[in-house]
Amino acid sequence: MADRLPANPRVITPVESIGTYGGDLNLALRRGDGTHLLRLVGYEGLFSWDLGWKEMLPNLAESYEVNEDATEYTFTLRKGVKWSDGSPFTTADIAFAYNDLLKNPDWLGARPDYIAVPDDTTIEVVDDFTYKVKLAKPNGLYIFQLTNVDGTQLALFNKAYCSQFHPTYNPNANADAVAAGLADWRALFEQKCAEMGGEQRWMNPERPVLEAWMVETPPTATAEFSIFTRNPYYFKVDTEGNQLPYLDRLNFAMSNAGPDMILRAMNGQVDFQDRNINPASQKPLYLENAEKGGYHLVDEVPSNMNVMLVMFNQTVSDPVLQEIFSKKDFRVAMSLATDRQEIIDTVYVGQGQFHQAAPRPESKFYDESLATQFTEYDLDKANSMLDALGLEKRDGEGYRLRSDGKRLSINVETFDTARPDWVDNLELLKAQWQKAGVELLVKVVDRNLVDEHRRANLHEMHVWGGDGGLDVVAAPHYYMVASDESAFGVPWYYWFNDNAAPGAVEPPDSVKKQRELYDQLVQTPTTEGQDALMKQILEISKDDFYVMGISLTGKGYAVVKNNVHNVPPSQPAAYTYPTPGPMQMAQIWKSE
Amino acid sequence: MTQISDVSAPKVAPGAIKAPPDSGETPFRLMWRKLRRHRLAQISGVILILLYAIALLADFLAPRDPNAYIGRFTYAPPQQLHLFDGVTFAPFVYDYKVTVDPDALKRSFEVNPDKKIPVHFFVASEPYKLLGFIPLQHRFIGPADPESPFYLFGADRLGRDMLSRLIHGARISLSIGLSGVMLSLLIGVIVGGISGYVGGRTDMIIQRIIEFIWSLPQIPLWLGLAAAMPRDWTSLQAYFVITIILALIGWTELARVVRGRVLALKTEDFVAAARLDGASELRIILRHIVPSFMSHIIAVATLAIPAMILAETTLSYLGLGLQAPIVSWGVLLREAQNIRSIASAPWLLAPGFAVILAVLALNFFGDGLRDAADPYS
Amino acid sequence: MIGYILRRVCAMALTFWAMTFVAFLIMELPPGDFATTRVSEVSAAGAKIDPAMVERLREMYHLDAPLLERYAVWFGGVLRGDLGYSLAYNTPVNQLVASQLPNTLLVEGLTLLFMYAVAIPIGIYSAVRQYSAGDYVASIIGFIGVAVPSFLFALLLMWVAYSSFGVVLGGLQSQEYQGAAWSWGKFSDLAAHLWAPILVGGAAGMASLIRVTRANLLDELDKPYVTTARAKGLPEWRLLLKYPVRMAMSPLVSSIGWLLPSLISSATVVAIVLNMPTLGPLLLTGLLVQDMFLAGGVLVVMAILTLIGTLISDVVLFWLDPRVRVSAA
Repeated sequence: MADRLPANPRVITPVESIGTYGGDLNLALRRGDGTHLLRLVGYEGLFSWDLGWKEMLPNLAESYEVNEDATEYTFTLRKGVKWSDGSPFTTADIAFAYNDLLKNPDWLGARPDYIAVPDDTTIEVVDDFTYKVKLAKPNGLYIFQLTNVDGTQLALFNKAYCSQFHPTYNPNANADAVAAGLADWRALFEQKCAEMGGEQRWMNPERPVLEAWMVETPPTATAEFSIFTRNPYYFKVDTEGNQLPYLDRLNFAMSNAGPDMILRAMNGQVDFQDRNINPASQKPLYLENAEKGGYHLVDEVPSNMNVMLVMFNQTVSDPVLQEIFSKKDFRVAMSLATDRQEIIDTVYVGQGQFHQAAPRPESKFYDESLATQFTEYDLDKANSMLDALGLEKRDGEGYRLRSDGKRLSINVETFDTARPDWVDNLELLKAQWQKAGVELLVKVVDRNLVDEHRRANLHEMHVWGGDGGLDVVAAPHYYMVASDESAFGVPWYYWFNDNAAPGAVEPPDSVKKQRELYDQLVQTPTTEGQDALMKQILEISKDDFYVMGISLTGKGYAVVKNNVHNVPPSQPAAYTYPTPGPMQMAQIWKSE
Repeated sequence: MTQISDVSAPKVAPGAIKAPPDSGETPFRLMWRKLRRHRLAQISGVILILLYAIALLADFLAPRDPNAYIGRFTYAPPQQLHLFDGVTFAPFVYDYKVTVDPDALKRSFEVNPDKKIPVHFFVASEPYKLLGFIPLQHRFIGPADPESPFYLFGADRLGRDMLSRLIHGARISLSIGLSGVMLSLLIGVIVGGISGYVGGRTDMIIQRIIEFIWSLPQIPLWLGLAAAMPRDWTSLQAYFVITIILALIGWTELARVVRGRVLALKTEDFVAAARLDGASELRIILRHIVPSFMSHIIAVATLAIPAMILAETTLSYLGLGLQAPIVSWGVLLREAQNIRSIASAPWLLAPGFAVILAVLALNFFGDGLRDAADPYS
Repeated sequence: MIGYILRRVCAMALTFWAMTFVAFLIMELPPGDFATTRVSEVSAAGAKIDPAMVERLREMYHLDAPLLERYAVWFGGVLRGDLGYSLAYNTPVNQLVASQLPNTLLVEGLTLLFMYAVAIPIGIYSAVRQYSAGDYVASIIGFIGVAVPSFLFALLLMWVAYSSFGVVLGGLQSQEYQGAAWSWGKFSDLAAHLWAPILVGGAAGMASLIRVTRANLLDELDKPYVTTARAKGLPEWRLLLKYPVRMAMSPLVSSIGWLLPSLISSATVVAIVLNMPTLGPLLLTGLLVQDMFLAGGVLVVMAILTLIGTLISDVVLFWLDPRVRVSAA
C-alpha cells in the first residue's frame, strides 16, 4: 500500500468515527448535471476549504510562499501523489494545464478568475514538485481563488494522457479528430479530456484522475445507471493511516429530474444527497416518511442571502422609465410598498426574516443596517414618496402616470422551472404594488430567454436569488457592478470591460468608485486589508440601494440514510464552496 | 328542440333511390328523435349543459376571485358545508385550527368545532360584470365576512380557493376544445371531402400534405412555436394561438377519415344512382355522401374535443401552454403535478377530475349523437 | 400493386425532404443557439463563464454560418446515414439513437399490441351488445383511460406504487442487470419495469380504438348483406368475423401508420415522468439545450418511422378493402 500513497499523504480527520472499508453509496443523478459530480467527486485542487468554510488547507499542494506585493507565488506539491493509472502527479501536469490549455486561446474551456487575463500569468517549473507563478498585477486573492471550486481546473489534466490529443505534442491531433468524425482537435480533446465543469469530464473511463473514485460506467445520455469505483492511488488517509476512500463504489441512478428521484430518496434508495431532491416544498413529506425510508435530514446553511432579489434596470432603454428607476427614492418607495411579512407567510410558511441585498448574519461582513434598511411596510410613506417624484397623477384604474402620460407599469420575466416561488412572490408583489399605483406585469417564460434578455439589456426589472451571502468577496455582483448578473446596470459592466464596446454605458461615479475599490482589493495581499476594502464597497451599496431583497434564505437540507456515517449535522451550501466536496466524501462510510 | 318545423328542414332529394328510408323526416330530425332514447347520452348532454353554464356564469358562481390569496391558509383542506344549524336554515362552515411546524415548513389544519363561519347565498361582493355586460354585485355563495376562510374544495399553495379556480378554469378549458375542434372540423371535412371525391392528382397532393403534417412530431412543433411567441403577447393572443396550434394538428385526422369514407362510398350504388340521375357533383357530396358519413365524423369530432382539452393540459405541463395568471384546468394541473401535492393535498387534483368528467360527458354525448345520426337503423 | 407502392415511395422521398427542412426551421425558431444555452446552463450551475468561450464554441460548431448552408451540410450527412454530432453529449447522434431506438420500439410496439389486444375485442363486444351493461362498462373504463392526462396517470401510478408497495417505478432495468447477459432474471426484471409505461401509454389510446372499432362495426352490422347472411342461417360469430369485422377494420388499419410516431411524440412526457431510456427524452433534451443535431437526428428517425408506418397501412388497406383496390387501380 505504501507504494500507492505519497510520502506525505493528506490526513483527513473523520467527522465522527474511523470507518470500515467496503460498500456502495447509492445516489440519484440528473442527466447532464456534471456539477453534482464535480461537487461530490471532483473537488480536488491544490487547496481545499475546511468543513466550516473558514480555512484554506493544502490539498494536492503541500505548501506555498508568496512575495511582499502578491505577484509571485511558489508552490510545493506533495511528493509521490499518483494518478489513477499509477503515473506520478508532477509540476509537468500543472505546466501543461497553464501553458497548453488555459493560456492557449484555441482551447474551448473556461478561464477561471485566477487566470482571467492569460497573458498576465507566467509559470516557471523549478523541479518536479516545485513551480512559481508570476503575475503581471498583484493578486492577493490568488490562493483564495485556487481554493474555490474553480481551482480544480489546474490539477485536472494528466499530461501524458491528454497531450496525445493536443497538436503541440501530437502533429496528427487534427487528423485524428477528423478521422473520429469531429471538427478539429479541440472537439476530440473535449471528448477525452474535458474541463472541470460539464458532465463530459466523466464520460471517458480511460482518463487518469486524482479523485477518490474513477468512472466505470459513464453517466451518458442513455445509461440508466452510472458507476464509479475506488481509485487505488488516492492520496488521502484517515487519522489512523488507513487509505481513503472507505466506500468501494458510487452508484448513480440516472434520471431526467422526474419524480422518481424524490421517490427513490423517500424510499430509502438514496444514501446521501441534497442536489435535485431537496425543494423546500418537499421537506414535510420527507419528515413524514423518514422512519419508513430509514433516513434522516441534515441541515445546509445556504451562502445565498435572499429568497428573491428585485433589480430595477437603471440602464433600461425606455428613457422615462430609466429616469424613474435611477432615482433612489423610487427604489426606496417600492421597498416600503412591499409587504414582506405577507410574502413570508404565504410563500415561505412564515419562515424567514426581512433582508435586503446584504451579507448573511453568519458572515463577517454582516451589517444590520444594510440588511434591514427600508424593509418595514409603510404604504403611506411609499405613496407620498412616489407623489413627490412627480408621479402623483393617476389613471382611471388608480395606476400612476409617468411624465409622458403613460401608465407606470413594469414588465418582469421569470421562469417557473427551477424556482416556482419567484412566480408566487411576483404574484404577491403585483397585488402589493398595485396599492402604490404601480403596475407589475409578470410573464413566465423560458429560462434561456430571461438570461438572453438580461445580457442584451432588454429587461425592465429582473429577479434572481441572492448570491454572495457568505462568499461576499467571491460573488459581489449584487453589491456592485461585477458581472452581467448585476442586472441593475449590465451595460455598466460592459463599459468596465471595454468602454468602446457596443452596448456599453458609462456608469455613475459611485459605481466606478466601487470598482476601483475592488481592483484595489484584488491587489491587496492580506485578508484584513481585503476585508476593509470590501466593507467600503458595501457602504456604498448601502447608500445607493441598487438591489432590493425580500427575505433571508432559510436552511436547506440533505437526506442521509441512518447507516451512513460521518455526515455533519450542518454544513454550508454554495458553489464556490462546492458542497459537499470540502466535507471529504472519501471519509463517508456505511454500516450494514 | 325535438319539434323542428318542416319548413326549416331541407327537402329530401327526389332522385335518391336508395337514400335513407324516407319517412318524411330529415336525417337531423331522426337523429334528435333517436337521441332521446339514448339514456347515457342524455345524462351526458345535461352534464355538458351544466358545465358550459358554469363556465359562462363563472363570475357569479365562484365564491372568490380565483387569484385572491390568503397566506394563513396555504394548503388548507376542503371544508364541509353545513346547510342547517340545528333545525334552522343557516348555512355555515367550521373554522380551522391552524398550527405551524417551523421545522417541517408546514401548516397543519384541524376543524375547529367551536367556531362557525356563517355562509350566505347571494352574498354581496365587489361589483363585476357578468358575461362582460350584466352589472352585478352579488355572488351565488360566500362567507358573510369575506376575510374568513371558505374553501369547499380546499386551498392551493398560496391559500387561493380551488373551487373558484376550478370554475374559472372551466371557461378556458371548455372553450379552447370547442373552438379548436370547430376549426379543425371545418378544414378537415372540406379538405378530406375534396381529396376523396375528386381523387387523382388532387388526392395525391392533399394526402402528401397531410402525411407531411403528421410526420411533424407535435411536441417539438409546440416547443418551437411557444418559444418563438413574442413576449409582449397578451394572454388572449396566446389563447388564440394555442387554439390554432391545436386545430392545425387536429384537422388532418378528420380529413383522413372523411377521405377514407368518401373513397369507399363513391362506389356505393346510391351515389352512382344519383349521378345517373343527373345530380350535380356538389349536390351529390352534400346531399348524399356527407349525410352517409355524418355518423363517423361526429364520432371522430367528439373524440377530438377531449383530445384538445388534454392537449391543452399537456402543453401546460410542458410549460408551453397558457401561463398563470390565466386559470385553466391545464395550468391548475401543472401546479398540482408534484409528489407533495399528490401525497398531502390531493384536492389540488380536482381539475384532473373536472377534465375526466368533461371528457366522459363529451364522449358519451358524441356517442349518442353518432348512433342517432346513423341513417340506416 | 407494385406500381402503387413505387408511386408511394417516390412521394415519400419528397415528403421526407420537406420534413427535414421544416424540422430544421422549427429548431431554428427559439432565440439563441447551443452556445448561449451552454452558457446559461453553466452559469445556472453557479459557475462563471468566459464570454469569449461562447464565441469559440460558435466558431467551432459553425453556428454562425447562414441557415441554408448549415441545413445543406446537415441534410447531406443525413442522406449518407450520418445524423451528425450531438454537441450536448459529445457523441455521434447515430450512437445515441441506436442505443435508444430498440428500447423505444420495444416499449411502443408492446404498447401498440396491448392496445389492439384489449381494444378490438372490447370494441366488437360493445358493438354486438350495443347498449348492454357490458357496453357501458367497457366504454366508461376506456374513456376514463383517455380522460386522465398521461403524465398525471403516470405520477399517480408512481405514488401508489411507492406508498402502497414501497416500489419506485421508472427506467427499464435494475442496476444489477445493466450490461448483463440475457437471463431469466434480466427478463423478469425487464417485465417488471415494462408494465407501467405500457399501461399508461396504452390507456391513453385505448378508448379511441374501442370507439372506432365499435362505430365501424355498427355501421357494417346495419348493412343489408349482414341481414341476408343472418337470414341464411350463418352462425353469428362466423358471420361477424367473416365480413363485418373485416370491413370495420379498414379505417382502423389506416390508423396504424400514424399511431406509432404519435405514440412516440406524445409518450415523450410520460417517458420523462417515468424516466424511460427511449427516444422521447433524448428529443426533449435536444430541444431544450438547442442541440440542433441531436433534436434533428431524432426527428429524422421519427419521420422515417412515420413514413414507413403510413406505407404499411396503405398497403394493408389496399389488400384488405377491395373497394380501395378498385379505385386506386
